[in-house]
Amino acid sequence: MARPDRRDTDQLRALTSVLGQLSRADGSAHFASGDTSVVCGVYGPVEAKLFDERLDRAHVEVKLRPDVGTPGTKDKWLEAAVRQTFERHILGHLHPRTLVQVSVQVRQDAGSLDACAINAAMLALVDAGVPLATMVAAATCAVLEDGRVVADPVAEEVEGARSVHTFAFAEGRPAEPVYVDSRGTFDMPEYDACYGVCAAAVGRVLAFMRSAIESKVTRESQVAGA
Amino acid sequence: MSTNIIDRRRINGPQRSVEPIYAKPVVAFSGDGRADGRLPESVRPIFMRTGPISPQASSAASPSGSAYYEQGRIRISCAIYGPRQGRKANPRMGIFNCEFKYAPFSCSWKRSHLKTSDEKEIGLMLEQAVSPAIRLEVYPKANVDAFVTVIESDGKAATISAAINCISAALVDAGIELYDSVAACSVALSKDLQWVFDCTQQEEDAASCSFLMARMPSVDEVTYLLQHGKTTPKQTADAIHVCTNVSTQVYAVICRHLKETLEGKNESDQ
Amino acid sequence: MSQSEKSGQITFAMQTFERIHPVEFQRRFLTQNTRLSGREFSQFRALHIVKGSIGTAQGSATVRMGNTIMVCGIKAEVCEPDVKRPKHGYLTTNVELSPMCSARFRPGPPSEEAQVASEHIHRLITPSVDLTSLCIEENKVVWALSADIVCIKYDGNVLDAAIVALVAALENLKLPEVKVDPATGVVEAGAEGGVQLGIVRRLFPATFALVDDNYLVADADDAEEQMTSASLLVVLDDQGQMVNVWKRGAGIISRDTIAKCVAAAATRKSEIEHALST
Repeated sequence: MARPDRRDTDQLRALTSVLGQLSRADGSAHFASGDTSVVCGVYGPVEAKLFDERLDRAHVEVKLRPDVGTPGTKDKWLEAAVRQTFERHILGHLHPRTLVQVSVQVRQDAGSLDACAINAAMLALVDAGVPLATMVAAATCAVLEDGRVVADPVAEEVEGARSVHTFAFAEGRPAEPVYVDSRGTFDMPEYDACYGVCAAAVGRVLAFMRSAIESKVTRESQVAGA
Repeated sequence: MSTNIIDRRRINGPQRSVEPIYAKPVVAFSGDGRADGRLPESVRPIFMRTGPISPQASSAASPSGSAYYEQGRIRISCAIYGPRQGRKANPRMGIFNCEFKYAPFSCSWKRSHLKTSDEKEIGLMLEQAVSPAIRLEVYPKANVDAFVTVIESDGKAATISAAINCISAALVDAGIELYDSVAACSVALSKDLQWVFDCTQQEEDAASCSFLMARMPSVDEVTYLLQHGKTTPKQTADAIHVCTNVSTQVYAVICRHLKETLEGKNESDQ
Repeated sequence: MSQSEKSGQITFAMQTFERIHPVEFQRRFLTQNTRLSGREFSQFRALHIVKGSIGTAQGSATVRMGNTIMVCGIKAEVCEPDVKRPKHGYLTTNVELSPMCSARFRPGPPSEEAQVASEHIHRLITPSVDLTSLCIEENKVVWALSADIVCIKYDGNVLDAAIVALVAALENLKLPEVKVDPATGVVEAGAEGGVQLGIVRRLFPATFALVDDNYLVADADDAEEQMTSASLLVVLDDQGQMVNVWKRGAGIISRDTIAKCVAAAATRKSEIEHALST
């Protein structure tokens, strides 16, 4: 049985990204995986509010806005997930007593939003020049009713799936997941299969992100040179 | 029909929901017998516990003192923080704050998560009833905060008086300097014009007047009086008289518990 | 507080040391492969569950895990069903972390921690109950259950305690027999034991925390949680199948360690099962 958009089981949707689109932010990224698309702006390091000020490191704040309506607990949940994924990878001790604000705006949710939000935030942090220990990217896969493992599921597939798995990895460390959220009903072999699929997918996402950053840097250096 | 307020920081249910109508048993509230077979002047059995459950070192964020209090079906938990720095500060005296909250499932109807006006009012009443017992002048610029949560209630006046007793015990556990512990009790006026102690919700609904008194028994000073409903001055004077006796009994129960806890602690230290 | 100087070394009472340098204090235990509580790294706290203690709630349970105490109470109301799902009732789950249970929480609206816990538990419990069993009359009336999980004392690992409390309270839930008056639409409740909530699966949580970047401990208490760089929640169902694996924080918990934790969660499952049945 073919997938709704006729992809192979391990094929990701087309990835697109635009860096530095927002003029007011210190760095920004628009990241889309098929129809799921997220815009993220990073402000920082800026002055922290007295309450948030940390003496030895920068305070990382993530704000997430949904595509429709006002933010609810669902958005708060994802907000916390994005923040916890990055908090330790930002070299905050280089900017003590400051604030790094990450603003995530969901444009459209057509499945696998969590991974898309993490990827967009990552690109925006790189674009803003926030010092980072490593690059992190995320990918989602689902185990369908018939037992097939599909990468980057669309909303329709998530709806009928037995379990959905989102993994985030740091570059070059496929044995140490940074973030895991597996839910549904599944056993260890299924979990392992999903782990493998996501680890491979994250590798491709990271390569894509790297080339997106490289092409932006090249373009900027050409402009500067001309 | 109640409309539920959409709170975007919580999981929301349907916009409108109501409680089904329960067939309530009719209780005759008269002097010749109470639904639970108590005598008019008897208070429901009190159980209390102060301090952490296991004697293990507690973390820096845990309260300075805490108490759990049961009186019949009433269950109340209270935590005391302080003396600590607070938002309000008085250079001469400490400030005692009290936050009172009913758990959403603690009453016969579903309560809102948001703080309601009656919770604010009860919080203020507790502050006024308990503050006179605290030596606030020895804590200048500091705050003593009490957080009270009702896990289950049964009778409003009885719940408030239980909360006062619970805070008193928690204050002792926190080591806050006190003149005396405050002990409270409540009475309601039955149909045959008799004062009946510690009324349940059913009894209170049937009563024409409810009366609450908080008192410091060892110095014999009243710290708070509250009356709902109409009485003659004589009846009110009677109420004060009977409450004086019973609050002393309640006080004895609190003191006995605190003494036993202290003795238990000393034994485990040795 | 006793403080004396002997040969240039300052000595403190244990409690003083803990207050001044909590991280170093915990580290002294961890480097000796012990914990302040005397537990093994893989040892969970004992669970005590009391079901049905609250008379004003239709279902309730109190869970004690060391110094962490959570009370879950379920209030049942009736409402009109959603037009799109005419046979489905409602179940809302909210976790309350008030300043009463710990100084970490401020008065006012729920903190991020409380919101994330509420949301996560709601996502886990929704597929675990049969909401159609809450139907009274299709398209007309369904039950709306609101489960509130209140933390009375906070000493770490509220998520495990909250999930267990919720499951125990749902098991304890007794809904009354109801009659709908067709003319007025008034819902009258009669004797207990009308509709029974269909529980598809029970949830058995186990949380592991990576303390001080090096030590993976089961069921961290408050002091240990303060030093946690990553936490792992594993939830199993009655058959021992995995329902949720949730790793947060950037600390390193490797793939193999996660597999080991899943195995350890199966042991914890039998402990919780035992506590639920008594």
